[in-house]
Amino acid sequence: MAVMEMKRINICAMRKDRKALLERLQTLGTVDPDINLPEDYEYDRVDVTSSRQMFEKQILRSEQALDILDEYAPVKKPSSFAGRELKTISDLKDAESRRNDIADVISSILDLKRKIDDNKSDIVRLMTQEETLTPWLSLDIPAGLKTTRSTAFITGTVPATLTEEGISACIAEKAPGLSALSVKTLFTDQDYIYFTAICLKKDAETVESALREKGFTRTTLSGDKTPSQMKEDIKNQIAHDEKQVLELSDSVALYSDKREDIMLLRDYYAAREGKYDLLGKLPETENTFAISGYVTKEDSERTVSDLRSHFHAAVELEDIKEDEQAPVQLRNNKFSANFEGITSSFGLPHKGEVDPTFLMSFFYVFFFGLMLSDAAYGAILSIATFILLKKFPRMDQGMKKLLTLFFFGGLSTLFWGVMFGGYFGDAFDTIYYKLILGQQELGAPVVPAAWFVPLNNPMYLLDWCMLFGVIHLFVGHGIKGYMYLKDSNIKGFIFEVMGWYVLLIGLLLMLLPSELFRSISGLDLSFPEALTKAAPVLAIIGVVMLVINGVLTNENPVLGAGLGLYDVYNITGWLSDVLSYSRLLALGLATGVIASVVNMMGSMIKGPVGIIVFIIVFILGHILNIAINLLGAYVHTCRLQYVEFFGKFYEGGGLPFCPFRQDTKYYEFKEETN
Amino acid sequence: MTGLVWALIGAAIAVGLAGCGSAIGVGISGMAASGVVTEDPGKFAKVLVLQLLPGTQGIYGLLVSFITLSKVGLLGGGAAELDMGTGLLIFAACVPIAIVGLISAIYQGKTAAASIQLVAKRPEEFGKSMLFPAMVETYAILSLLISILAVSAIQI
Repeated sequence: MAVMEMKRINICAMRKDRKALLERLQTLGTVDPDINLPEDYEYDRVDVTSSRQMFEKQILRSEQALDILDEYAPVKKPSSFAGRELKTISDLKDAESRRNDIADVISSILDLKRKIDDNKSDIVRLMTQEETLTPWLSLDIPAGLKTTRSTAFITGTVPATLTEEGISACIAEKAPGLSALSVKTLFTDQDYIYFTAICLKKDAETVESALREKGFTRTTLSGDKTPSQMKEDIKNQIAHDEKQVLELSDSVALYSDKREDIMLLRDYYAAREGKYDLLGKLPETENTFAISGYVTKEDSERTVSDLRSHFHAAVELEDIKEDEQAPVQLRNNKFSANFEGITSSFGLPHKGEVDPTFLMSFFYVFFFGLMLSDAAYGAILSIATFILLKKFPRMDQGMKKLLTLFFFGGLSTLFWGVMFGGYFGDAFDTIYYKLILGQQELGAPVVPAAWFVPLNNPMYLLDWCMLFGVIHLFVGHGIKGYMYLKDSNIKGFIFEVMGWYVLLIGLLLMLLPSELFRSISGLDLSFPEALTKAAPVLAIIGVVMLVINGVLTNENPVLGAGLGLYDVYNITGWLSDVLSYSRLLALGLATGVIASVVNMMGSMIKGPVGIIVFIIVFILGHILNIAINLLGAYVHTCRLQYVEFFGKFYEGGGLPFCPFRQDTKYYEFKEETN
Repeated sequence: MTGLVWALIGAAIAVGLAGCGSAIGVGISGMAASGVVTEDPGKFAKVLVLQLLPGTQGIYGLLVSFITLSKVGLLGGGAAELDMGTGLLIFAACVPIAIVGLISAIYQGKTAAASIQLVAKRPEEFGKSMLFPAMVETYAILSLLISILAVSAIQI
């Protein structure tokens, strides 16, 4: 339950070893590089820009090739829970030695894909061409034919405002006395009339200029084939292209077995890119280079001796300086470690702050179960996450922790479900009374609640929720006191932390036996008379302590006393924090009531059909209810930790410890263990 | 019988207004979510979770409505005879979740849309992004609580 202690590691080694040493560090994965040199310090650095660009390009090409393979030779994707497969360093070396061959495969795949795309765009082009031919299909002479021995063909379009007769009439008007003219409409659409006109060769120019005035455009078709022959050709070409696409797709699919190689290559380049990225930041001289970073105390000795045994290097460990913000790595027991993600998404502890994960984890599980509070849902959640965890042992660490968190959350949900008698809501009662006995009304519960049914007595559960809240908040406040003690801030501990405890306990003792509380909660608490009398005294002592705290922490005693008194106003903050725990009740009731609604809807129809309807509604409804309430329980439990609990003592703001390791996507490379 | 009418109106506004709020809220956040998925389909699961957050008010409304209906016996079995006063009491008890549900869901939808933008730019801050919409929901939960307590406290 703590923040791991960090050491600074400084390494100075021969320049010729630098790549090997970085690779070693990458494999060890224990050092978080932190290189900060004085700004005016002159030193050399390798220019790695071009190499990095090359690696990035290779990574991109590999990913493109993999996408193409997924498209043309689909395989069943590994589940998103599966995580990275384990490979050995020698697999990586093997990929390195074959990198040119694999790169050739990638090139061929990308090449084939380009050809496929070319063919596909060709098909689109041809189809557009085919489209433009449609109006001319009834033209039964070669489209490009302009003249015979003595006649001329004028083929083209005029705007559809004219008719066939209109065309003849306008020619007749502009060029009177034509010896021969024949106009044939081929096709009409809403914009144009497609036609061909035949006249004597000598009249051709007159006729065309007459038509031009009416917006005539010659057809763009040419060649010595009729439009229908041209269409036939295009169709053949399309068929040919389509066949090509199929053949090329098959050739791509043949590379399916190279998928693994490409994935290896991608990760190989990703690892190299990471290495070069760091390389570019390292200061070096002609023969040496240096690197500095953080390492956990636990791993420090191992890392140092490993580096010393492999290289001629000067490696030293240093304690973290007073003013230095070391990165943070949390370390908790097997149970609490699963809740580190919750802490770190709020913020890691800053220097000198305690890691709240350990205490938080117990409250988390407790509240999570109270919000979901259905035994069957809890069992389903635990079993499902358990199966996933067993089935995918190589799951990503973050995912593994989240699922383990839900596993424990499920157990807690099971517990609270039994306490409150919720099994898919009131499913047992519904099945027994409505489906089996055929009654309208539900009778006494088949499986009674071990404690009580919240819906029958919500106020009672609300009281308990407030109590849990007070405990949660008091523990949080206690951690603040612990931190004051750790910083040897005795005055703060006594007057601020203890002051609040005394004030709050005093107020609680005054409130609990009061008429007001009795009428709200229905609880009749009576304390010994001495305690009742002591309560106001305690509260006043608390106020005095807080005022003293104000005076002590401020230079101006009068202002300090004022601020201390103002601090007492924070009672409203405590009140609203405690009221916030009413969400435990509200969300718990929500699960149960919606589950009952589902059961009731399912049991509305009688008879054999009713059973089938019941099963369908039951499955769908409860899946939906689990999903919604799981989300609610997760989010609101987080909120209670972040706002109410952490708000009492925790700031966060530490930087995460990110050791230099292979940032791969598909495989994780480990050393062979002999 | 007039009492029953008031009770039914109460149940109707609880589920109706809170449901409207959730529909609007989920709609607003859904628009933002689809925008993000257009650019990066890999964020689907994350933005879907955020989109769903303003959906809870509708469920709270349903909850109060259901408790009300079963209280007055409209679900399976004869409806209770309510006088006008009791009917109005039940109506009043339904008002908090109806109004707060409506308004908080709309604002939660807007906050969720903003959080979706947050996740689009910084997917690693998913945990924090869920918190902002959850803050808005607090008030829906408080009103839900009062509605439940009030409905179950009324004697029929």
